[in-house]
Amino acid sequence: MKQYCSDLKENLPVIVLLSHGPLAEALLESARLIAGDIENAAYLCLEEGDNPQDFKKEIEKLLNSFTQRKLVMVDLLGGTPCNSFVSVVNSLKSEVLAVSGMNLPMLLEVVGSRKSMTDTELSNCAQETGKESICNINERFSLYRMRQEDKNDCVNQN
Amino acid sequence: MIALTRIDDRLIHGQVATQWVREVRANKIYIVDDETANDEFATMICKGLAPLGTEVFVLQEDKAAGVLKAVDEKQNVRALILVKSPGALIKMLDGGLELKKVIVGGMGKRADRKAFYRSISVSDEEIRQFQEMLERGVDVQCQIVPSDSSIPVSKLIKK
Repeated sequence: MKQYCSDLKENLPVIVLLSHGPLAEALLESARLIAGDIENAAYLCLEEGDNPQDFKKEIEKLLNSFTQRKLVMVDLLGGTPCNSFVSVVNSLKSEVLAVSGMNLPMLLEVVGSRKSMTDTELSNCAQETGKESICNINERFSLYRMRQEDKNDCVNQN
Repeated sequence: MIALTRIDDRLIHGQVATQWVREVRANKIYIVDDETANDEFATMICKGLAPLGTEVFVLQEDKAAGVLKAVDEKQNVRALILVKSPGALIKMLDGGLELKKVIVGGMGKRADRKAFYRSISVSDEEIRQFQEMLERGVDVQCQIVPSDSSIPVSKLIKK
């Protein structure tokens, strides 16, 4: 299990990333490359051989340690990090919202706009950004269309 | 109004699209670069990269001042101007555009450039152009992302 918590500020929601393996750590590291230093962020990475019971306990301990509001992001709906969160959610000191399918645009958007957001707004912001960031690049830049034209040109020449 | 003028040879990329657009609440991005403006494909890619809530325009360097003077007058526009190097900004100043502040965010390593500040490299010619901008009353600061503190270029040149 790998665990990390950044410097903490009052009045800024904490983003807590949970993942299979190093994804959470790497996602935060990648986000730093773009956004600079990121405060109020923590992660817990489940590693091979970890006991899921211990992972649950650590999630509970970590989330209960923050007086700030928080948003949990997990890598995979139905995976162990997600299920561990679900199994401890009712025993947490306060209500905590979580979203699945964490990705880089989602993290960057939440980190950048979290300050004035309510828990629900944070969760909605993460979900919307995550979905909007997925697109067909070829269509977006009309790349496929150009290629088709190239092919048509070849056919015509033949 | 002009919300931000930035020198960044990567033009629209992660730091600009996700950090600066939000920081200055930009709704229009003006890329002033002859190389991009003269390349239909590059122009199309830049327009396609418009972050949500923004529109991208690509301008020729010698025509930019006129367009941007009009943009600066519009209160409902918050423009983010992107150039690859200080040379394009000198042309805009020559064209009569008033620039109060410019931030240097990305100038990558090149054979003619030397390390200047963190990941920013500049050539002798570009140093001279920075000096000219400073003499013409433009505040030039190095700042890679909004969460960094900005460093006046004047301090870095004297070193």
